[in-house]
Amino acid sequence: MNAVLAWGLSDLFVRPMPLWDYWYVLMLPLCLGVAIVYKAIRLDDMRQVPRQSAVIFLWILAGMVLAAAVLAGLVQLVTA
Amino acid sequence: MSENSRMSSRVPPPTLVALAGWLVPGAGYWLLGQKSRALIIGITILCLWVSGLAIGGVRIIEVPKYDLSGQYIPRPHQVAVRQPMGSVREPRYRTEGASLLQEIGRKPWSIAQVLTGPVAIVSGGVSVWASREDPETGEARFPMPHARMWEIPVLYTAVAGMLNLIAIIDAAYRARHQEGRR
Repeated sequence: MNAVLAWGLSDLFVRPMPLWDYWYVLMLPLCLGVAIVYKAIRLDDMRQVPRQSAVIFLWILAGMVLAAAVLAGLVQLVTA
Repeated sequence: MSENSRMSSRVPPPTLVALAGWLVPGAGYWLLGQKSRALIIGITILCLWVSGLAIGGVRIIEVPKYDLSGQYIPRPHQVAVRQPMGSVREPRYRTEGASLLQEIGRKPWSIAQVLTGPVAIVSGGVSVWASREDPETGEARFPMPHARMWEIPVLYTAVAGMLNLIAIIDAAYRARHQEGRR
């Protein structure tokens, strides 16, 4: 937590953000970005993009959580 | 009314649309008259790029042909290996440097990153400058991130480039089909 507090705006683009303990949170903006661009390319009506990209964002997250659970189970099985 | 039905009657050639899409993410759609699509895609791709640089720092961009201390890597060449004084053995050589292809093979994510456009080239230039030694401190100007704080931002910037490639292909495809319909 101290590293988070010590990091200031002057470190932006200079030093990495002290997010190594919260790295999994960084998955969210990336998935959101992919969902928005994907739906903006696919849809004809741009007014549908916010809703449709929110839906696919949740699907991506659900898929990732499922993949993580399967892999964790596999690791448990192999290391047991 | 959908964006497709609002397209202007003069359709730019697909190559120009693709080039514009590389120069500024989303600009290919703008040329086709699909301005809201252009803004949504362009802003999202640039946000992903800037987020990557903000998370890991500008040094996450590794430029082929430049090493970690910002020095230019020359083409492969033979360098004589120094031998002990008075040695009568045959002179020995070792290869130093690397070709551009070898360097891209070592940093394949740079291919995806450069698809984001000139913003990637500018960021690469800043990264090379930031990795050079500061004459006052004798250390690199900006520190090099490691482990997850290097991997995740590289993923952000590479995904931004790949999404821009999809947008470029889609915009060029739309331009070609609009041309065909006229």
